[in-house]
Amino acid sequence: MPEWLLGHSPWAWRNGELAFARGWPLWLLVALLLVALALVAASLFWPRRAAGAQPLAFWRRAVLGVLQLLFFAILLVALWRPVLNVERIRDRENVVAVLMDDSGSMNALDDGAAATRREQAAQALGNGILPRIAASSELRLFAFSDRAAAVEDLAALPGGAPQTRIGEALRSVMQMASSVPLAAVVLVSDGAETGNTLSEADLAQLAASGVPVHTVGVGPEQFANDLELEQLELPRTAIAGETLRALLSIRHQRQGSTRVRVYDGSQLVATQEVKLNPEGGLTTARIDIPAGGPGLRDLRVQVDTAQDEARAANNTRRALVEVSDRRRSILYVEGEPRWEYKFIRRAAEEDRTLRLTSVVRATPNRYYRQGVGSAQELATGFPVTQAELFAFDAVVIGSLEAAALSTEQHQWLKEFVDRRGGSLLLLAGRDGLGDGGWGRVPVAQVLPAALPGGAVSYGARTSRVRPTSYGLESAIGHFDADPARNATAWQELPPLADIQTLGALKPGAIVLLEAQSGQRADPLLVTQRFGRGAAWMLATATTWRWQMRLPLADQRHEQFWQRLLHQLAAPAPAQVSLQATRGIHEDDAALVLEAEVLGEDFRPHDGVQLAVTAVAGDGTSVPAVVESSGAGDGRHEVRLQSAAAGLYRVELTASRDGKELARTLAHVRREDGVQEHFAAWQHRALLERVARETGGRYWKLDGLAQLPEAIRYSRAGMVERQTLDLWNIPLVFLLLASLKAGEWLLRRRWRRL
Amino acid sequence: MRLRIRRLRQQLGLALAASLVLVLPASVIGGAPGAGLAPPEPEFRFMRLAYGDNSQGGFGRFGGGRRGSWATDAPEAEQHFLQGVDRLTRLKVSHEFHAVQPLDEALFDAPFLYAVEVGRWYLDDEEAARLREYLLRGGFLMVDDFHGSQQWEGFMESMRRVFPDRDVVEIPDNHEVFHVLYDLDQKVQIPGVGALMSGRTYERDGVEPYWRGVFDDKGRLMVAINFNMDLGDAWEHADDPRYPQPLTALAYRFGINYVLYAMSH
Repeated sequence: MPEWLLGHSPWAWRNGELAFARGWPLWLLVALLLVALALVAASLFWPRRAAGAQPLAFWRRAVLGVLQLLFFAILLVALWRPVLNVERIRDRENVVAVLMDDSGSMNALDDGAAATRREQAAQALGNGILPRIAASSELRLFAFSDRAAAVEDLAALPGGAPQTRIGEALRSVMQMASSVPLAAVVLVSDGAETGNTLSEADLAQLAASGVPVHTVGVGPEQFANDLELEQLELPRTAIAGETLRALLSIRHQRQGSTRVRVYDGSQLVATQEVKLNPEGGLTTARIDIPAGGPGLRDLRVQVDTAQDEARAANNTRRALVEVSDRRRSILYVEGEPRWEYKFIRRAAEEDRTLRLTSVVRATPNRYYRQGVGSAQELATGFPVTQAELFAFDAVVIGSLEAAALSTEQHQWLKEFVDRRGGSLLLLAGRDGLGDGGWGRVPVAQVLPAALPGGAVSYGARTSRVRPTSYGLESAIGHFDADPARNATAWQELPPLADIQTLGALKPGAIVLLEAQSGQRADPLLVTQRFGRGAAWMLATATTWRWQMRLPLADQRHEQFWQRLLHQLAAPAPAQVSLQATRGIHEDDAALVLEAEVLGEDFRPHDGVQLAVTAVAGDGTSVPAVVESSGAGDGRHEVRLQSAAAGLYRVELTASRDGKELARTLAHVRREDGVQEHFAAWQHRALLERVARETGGRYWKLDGLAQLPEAIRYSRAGMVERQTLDLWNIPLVFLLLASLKAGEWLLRRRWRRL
Repeated sequence: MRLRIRRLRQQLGLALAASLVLVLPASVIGGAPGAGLAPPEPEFRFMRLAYGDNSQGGFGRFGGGRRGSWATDAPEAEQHFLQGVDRLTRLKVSHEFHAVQPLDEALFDAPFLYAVEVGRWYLDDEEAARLREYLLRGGFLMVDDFHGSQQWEGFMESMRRVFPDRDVVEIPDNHEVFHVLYDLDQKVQIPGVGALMSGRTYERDGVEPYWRGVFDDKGRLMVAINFNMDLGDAWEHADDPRYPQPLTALAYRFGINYVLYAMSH
């Protein structure tokens, strides 16, 4: 509604409070309105005998009555003197802070634009907006990236700062409010926050200061022709010879396909065509990368630049993978000769990164061992010391009754999962899971299901295997990168011949595979985290039929077991470990690594000294500080005082009484000027949220005309209260005149003047 | 009337007893499987290869029935042997008689195969290809009861079709198949009962026993060839006092080692 009609600024209406200034009681107004209603009704509906005149229809009299009543109501309300109580900043006594984003993303020259985002913003603000604000308040100008700094001229900023930390910048400016009357903050930015400084708590803290933040959005809200490698997930460590699976998220608006290339240094190690989601948005893809030999893989994953793509810097991400020659060590204990045992062994033998040590109880008294290191190892069918058990990364137990192990061995198994951080997989069988009494021993606590007791739970049932949504997210659920072909690959697997019912799943259990028989679906492969490790259960022992029923060239049985065994063994921590919190530190000078030093029993030991050496790529030493967590858990933090971007090699040596216990190595890379190239579109939702939470408003760059007026009606800083009369605004007189004119016109039309 | 009441009491008593049996936990009365589950199948089936015979007017085909060469010693040989397996190992075996033809899909459901009198067997190209695929996927074949150079040639004619590119070699004494459970260092010829009754331990010109095999690319034994001996007869006549017990025991040991090797390699 036009301001001339309302009599006052729209911002006064938006921020003000309605009240009656006369002070007369409101009940009297209501009573008089009722009297007016009665009089109008009596005048229109009281029976009159007028010679020759046909009375008006009821609805026509009702319309006239409403018009008359509204007329009297407006008059009566006006008598009570309605007013708008507003607060507005006092002229020349307040400060308004204007923060201009000076980060790298504001240097962008968007599609078709002749000026950078920052130049466009400076121009829009300088074009009468800032002078109008300055007419009533003192202006203070700031530029910000990771923090705010006062500047003289927004049009002369250097630009290109490596970070955008909006929350930090706002907090530092808000601190002014304690010393000067800060009426409002104007934040000019694309909202491409890189520092995670605008959490719920951060916003609540900003809102608590009471100063409204008006956000001015700069830049396009999406890029039409851009491909961005938004996320890259890769394991941080690998075993020589294995295959790494990278998970990519590509953000795009275009359709078609693109090619992803992976380089180790300058050598191309993997490439894959990725079909983009036809609806745009986000496309996820998996790409398998050979880990190669032992050493550091300095990987660069690159999405091909499209022909008309303006932003190529966001097509590449890097990752470091430490590849060791240590094989994943798995113990498999089988209680009776079974085909499953043979075919699991054969699948594991195909994978050079796995070391499977197995023992099968061939007769009641004789164990047949394979892959053992000595004549004594597993001679009695199971490790005889905790250290012997803890030397493995994962343990698989087949159809072996729980009573075959001693109480002590059961306790070790539980601690193997809980404290050592290994994985335990129980297989189905006559003496497996519930039927083997595994629900009544200490390790039952770590299992993902409450195993049933009593009735026999293992039996024959033909069923097909189907991965769940969790299974599809896991490497185990992927026979093929294409979802449709992958679904077919699972559907066409030969059926299983047996199943074991697992009992009620625990709250933390995750079902990865189901066995489907008719309409019935039973959990087949289930896992749950427990302590530092995980427990798994596979409710079948006939996956060997996949190998025998499928053609020789088909690798599904081998893939399934190799991936499952890797999934079991990969997370098991080493006794002494060193790992960077992030392999690549983008625009972050604080390089932090986490070290853990434990004994053979995977408990922290006293008197262990740690020494760290850090070397930059050019061979210069870098100071490093080691700090214990203080919790006595063997954990330490290693901080590098890195001066520049580059690759750093960090070596940790643990010793006790002058004797070296272990030595381990990790790498970390610092990269600068990366983050500002990613997610560099205007994050309008974030800017709107900041404005909404603080009482300000989001503004488009081409719609700033009302900004100075909005700031005048701010409730922060030095404010004054004003009482604005409403009875005399043009709208009231226009309404009164319109009501009477309407009544007159109707009466004339109905011939009742 | 009294009689009717007594009958009624008897019927009620029987019904009560029956209902008690029904409500007892399955574990108490012997372990019926859980809801919707049939008892699990035995892990091990002793599966005979029902091959076509080459001795009927040249190379005749398998004609059905159980009286071809492939069925020699059946079913007593496996019945006796499986009782020994049952008693001496933890392997759960099926005591039923099982046989399969080379082109039967069920071949792939039994990774252990026994072929007897293979000097007379005949496998055409399709059957040979099927057996090759079976063995390379992980199946195991034990062949037995063929003697002399003529039967060796009969065996090899089909074997060469199965593995034209693999040699039949002597299994070394230190091979795992001779030590997986029993240490079988004593390589004694195990004779057929006919030869034994005639005072010999060999048949035809098969004087020396040979333990030969075909290996896969990983060095795993796929075909165990018992040439110039007859383990099947030793198993079959385990209850015959005339057949020497030490030879029977040795035949059992070889058989058990083959089975355990097949189930672990």
